[in-house]
Amino acid sequence: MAKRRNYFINKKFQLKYTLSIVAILAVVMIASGAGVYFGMWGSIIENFSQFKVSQNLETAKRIADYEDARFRKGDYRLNRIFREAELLSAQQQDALKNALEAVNRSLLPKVVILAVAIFLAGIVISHKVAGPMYSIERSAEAIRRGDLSVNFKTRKGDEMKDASSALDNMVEALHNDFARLKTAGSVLDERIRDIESRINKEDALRLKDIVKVIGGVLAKYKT
Amino acid sequence: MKNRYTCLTLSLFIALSSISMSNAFAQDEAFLDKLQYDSLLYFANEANPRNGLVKDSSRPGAPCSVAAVGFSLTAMCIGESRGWIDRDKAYERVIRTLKTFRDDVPNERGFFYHFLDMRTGARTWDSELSSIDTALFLAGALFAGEYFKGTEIERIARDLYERVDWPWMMNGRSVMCMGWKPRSGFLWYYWDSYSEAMILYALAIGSPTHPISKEAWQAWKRPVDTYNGYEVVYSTTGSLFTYQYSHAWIDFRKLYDGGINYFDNSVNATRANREFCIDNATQHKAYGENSWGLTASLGPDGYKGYGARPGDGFNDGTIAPSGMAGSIVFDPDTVLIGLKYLKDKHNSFLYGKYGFKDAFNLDRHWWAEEYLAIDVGITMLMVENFRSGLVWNKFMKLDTVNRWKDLCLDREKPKSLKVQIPVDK
Repeated sequence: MAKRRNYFINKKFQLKYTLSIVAILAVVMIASGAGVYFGMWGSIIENFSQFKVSQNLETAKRIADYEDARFRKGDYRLNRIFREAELLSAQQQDALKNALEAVNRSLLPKVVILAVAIFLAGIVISHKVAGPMYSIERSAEAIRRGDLSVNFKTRKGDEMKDASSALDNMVEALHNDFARLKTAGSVLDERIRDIESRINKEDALRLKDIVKVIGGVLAKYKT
Repeated sequence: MKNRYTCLTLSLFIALSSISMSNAFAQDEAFLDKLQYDSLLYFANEANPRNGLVKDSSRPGAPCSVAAVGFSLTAMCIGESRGWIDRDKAYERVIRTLKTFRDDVPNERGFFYHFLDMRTGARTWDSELSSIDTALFLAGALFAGEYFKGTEIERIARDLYERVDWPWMMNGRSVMCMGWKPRSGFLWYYWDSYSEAMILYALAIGSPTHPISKEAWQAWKRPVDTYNGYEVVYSTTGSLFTYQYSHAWIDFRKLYDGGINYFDNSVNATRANREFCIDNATQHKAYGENSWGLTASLGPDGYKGYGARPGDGFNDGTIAPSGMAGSIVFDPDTVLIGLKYLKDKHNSFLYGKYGFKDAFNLDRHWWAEEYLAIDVGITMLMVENFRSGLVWNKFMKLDTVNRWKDLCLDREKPKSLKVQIPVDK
């Protein structure tokens, strides 16, 4: 089997759906990205801004002061520096942990909402393809039963309009051809009756059998 | 005729004196009204309205202090009683705060961490599970419960109090530990001497669910020393707040503990503190007969446990107005004169939107820009006790307080008192 080289069989159709998927994913990525950025980076930027770091330094010093005053540790400069560094470090670890937890908390509902949105979008988009497919399937079954009066219905916004239209044209052509064949069969039957007395009886019977077979086949189709 | 003139002159003098006294009283009332109202604004503005948590200080980025919330709960009720806050709003703030502590703030056996994140209520700044700060919070909660008696506030406050496992914080010792940390366990420090922790012991001994032994009340030391004739059961730092915080809720005026009346003790400590400042006025520009009050506060080199004698408190010329204001019940006239003096003399530097700023030091030309919640709080509560006794009256009705009194204090006034206010002073 030859390798397929042209991947754009129906360029418009394929591009439309590719872009739809890309658009949905872009929305998901933007929403997640915004959540991560404003949640985590926003918190980190806020917590580590010059203003906040300055506030934290002041608070670390204050807390160490409180501890000195309450526990009467004594103002040993080196101890104080270590304690303030320890407090700052603990605070920054808390800030990072809180930022990550906040991001997780904010992302979880967004992911659920986006999953539901993608699911609903999938149903709407697939319906535009699945609807005409179902219509074709039913119409093909009707044609198999001999109904050439069917048409391949599509709704506004449905895909496969061209394919449905081509099938409609095909059925219409078949309908017309079969109608002409039926007419021709009737004419042939009358002509055989007209010439029946003038030809060999066996030939007449043979012709009648042929007309009967053709009439039987054509009778199956509604035209 | 002469007698008639004498009578007339005397009547005029009495009338003028009465008018003058009445004016002075009205002025004092107006001054205290403003001081309390401004103090209340701190708790209204420097809190997170969504959870009721209160900033430790007005400084941007300050965490919540659990003790500050205890003062805030009490201040809200005072504000309501004075008509400065609608009852609905005060109720809403108090119940929201209590629900935050019941549902969101982490606790260990009912004890809370010293500092909390203002937004989430989570433990912050590597702080310890603090026994005294939990007690000050609970004092405020129980007071609010008594103030809004029969409401959900009373029920939640009682639940918060009754879930505290006080014996656990004893860590198997005779006195209570100051705190506990998740990674390192109990702190090395214990409430083993006279301090602000009397209210902690009162609540722990009076607990109906997890009481500690009454012997713990006797286990802490009561060192006695004298300064300028004032005998004081003193705290190590000699800071005025140690003689005030328990008194903000507990009315010690008629309570006796082995011959000690802690109210009189605080009167002596207050007067000794003032005399210490007067005695050192030549060394420090801010110190004087109307400018005193050595208590833990901000200073030019950060927060320090400033104090006077008796005790070995540190002092560097820094005065905290809250030291004076918190002692208003102990020496009303002197304190009122001093507070008005400070406001008149240093108004633009020292008095702001929440009342007195935390401290000042004239030797270093230093003025605090901040307000500390607990310093604003002690001012608010003690002024109210001085004016109406509201906090004392409500708090002393608690069953908890009565249990502690019955278990630990003298049944009647002893014939001889250990700490006496000098008569000639």
